[in-house]
Amino acid sequence: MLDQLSDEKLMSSYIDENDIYNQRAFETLYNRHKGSFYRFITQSINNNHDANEIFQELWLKIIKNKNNYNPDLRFTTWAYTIARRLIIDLYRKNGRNIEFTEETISDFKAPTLKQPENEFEFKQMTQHLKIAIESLPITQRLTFILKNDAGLNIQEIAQITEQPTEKTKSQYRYAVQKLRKALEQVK
Amino acid sequence: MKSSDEDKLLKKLYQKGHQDMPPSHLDDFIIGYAKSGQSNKNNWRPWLAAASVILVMPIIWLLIQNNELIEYSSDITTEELSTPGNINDIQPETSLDEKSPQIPEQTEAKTIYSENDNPESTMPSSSPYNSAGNSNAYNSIEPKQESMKLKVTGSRIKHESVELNKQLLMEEFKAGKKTIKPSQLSRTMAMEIAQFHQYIEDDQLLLAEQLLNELQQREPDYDYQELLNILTNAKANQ
Repeated sequence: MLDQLSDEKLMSSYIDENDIYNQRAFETLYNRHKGSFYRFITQSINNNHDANEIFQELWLKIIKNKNNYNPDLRFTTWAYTIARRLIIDLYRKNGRNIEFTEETISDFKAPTLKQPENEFEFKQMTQHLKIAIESLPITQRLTFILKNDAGLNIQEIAQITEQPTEKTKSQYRYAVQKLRKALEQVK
Repeated sequence: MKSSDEDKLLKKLYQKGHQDMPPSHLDDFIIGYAKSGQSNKNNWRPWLAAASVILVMPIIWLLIQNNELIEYSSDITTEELSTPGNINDIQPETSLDEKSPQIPEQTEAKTIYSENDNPESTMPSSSPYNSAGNSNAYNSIEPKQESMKLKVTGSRIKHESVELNKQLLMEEFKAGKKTIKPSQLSRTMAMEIAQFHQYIEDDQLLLAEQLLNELQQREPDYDYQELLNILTNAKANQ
């Protein structure tokens, strides 16, 4: 029954202390999003230990700040915003600069993506894609992950990354072009 | 391949290659944390109740201790206590201690009785008669014109002792007899009392004594001590 509810309704149920299902609502919400949140973090950091800490910190913040949650905002938008800020904090803590400036790449004709002919080719493409995603600039990487893993639209991604929508759209386009190029080599 | 198909393929490839999940110990920790946060909220009231008891108990104890200290340390001299009760029901030589052996040793009140012509009775605030429970007993006894002056000196007695004294005095008052007062007497008895005084004036003491004996047998609720005193005095003067 709870599986049918939206994230926002689950969150409202969790916030309501008189709701007998509030704990189950949280568990449903957690199980629904733990994978995408975890991957968003691990692919942003490339360090499992730090990623685990950030993931844990993210959920503790969700629990502690549940009463600050605005039900008018999508739960995923709120949660990914927290996750992104935690990632930025970690970068700063480690003395690394996270580059959020827009990458200007010259327009190039990205190759057309070819359908894999067999399972082996599909697996090869998967491996190449994984490596290609890791090599993307962080803003493009996050945009791509948020679009394809979390299922967010460009406006929501722009809100999370605190960038204009057009800029976010460009970043996504650049990311896709680079990935296509990387996958062209699988032949 | 169409652009939308390419996007779908990219998504499919991405999802196939990215299925990482958090370690199970993190799942347990986070869900446990959410539960404990919830249960802490629910247990807030019992904790508050327990904390309140812990805080209040020493305060009550201190208050009790303080009262006992005051009771032990303060020697009091109670101001004159006029008791409207019947003088004959109280043995002047008998102290409260003697009449109530069960009263604890702390009771050291000394009673000194003397006659006071002032019909108005005054009660000190420390008097047990002031308690609401005794007000009826107090009112049921008509104040006599000859009221007693009771002087109480000594250390203040403990609450338990006061209660015992109060009970004892209540019983004494309850056992007390009605005062012979013209306004309360029946016409017959008023005439008989008048006759008694006439016999005394006429020195017919035998008749007076017989009448008094009759009255005592017929109306045992009344207090005849005053009439007996008059008769005794008359006999002594004869």
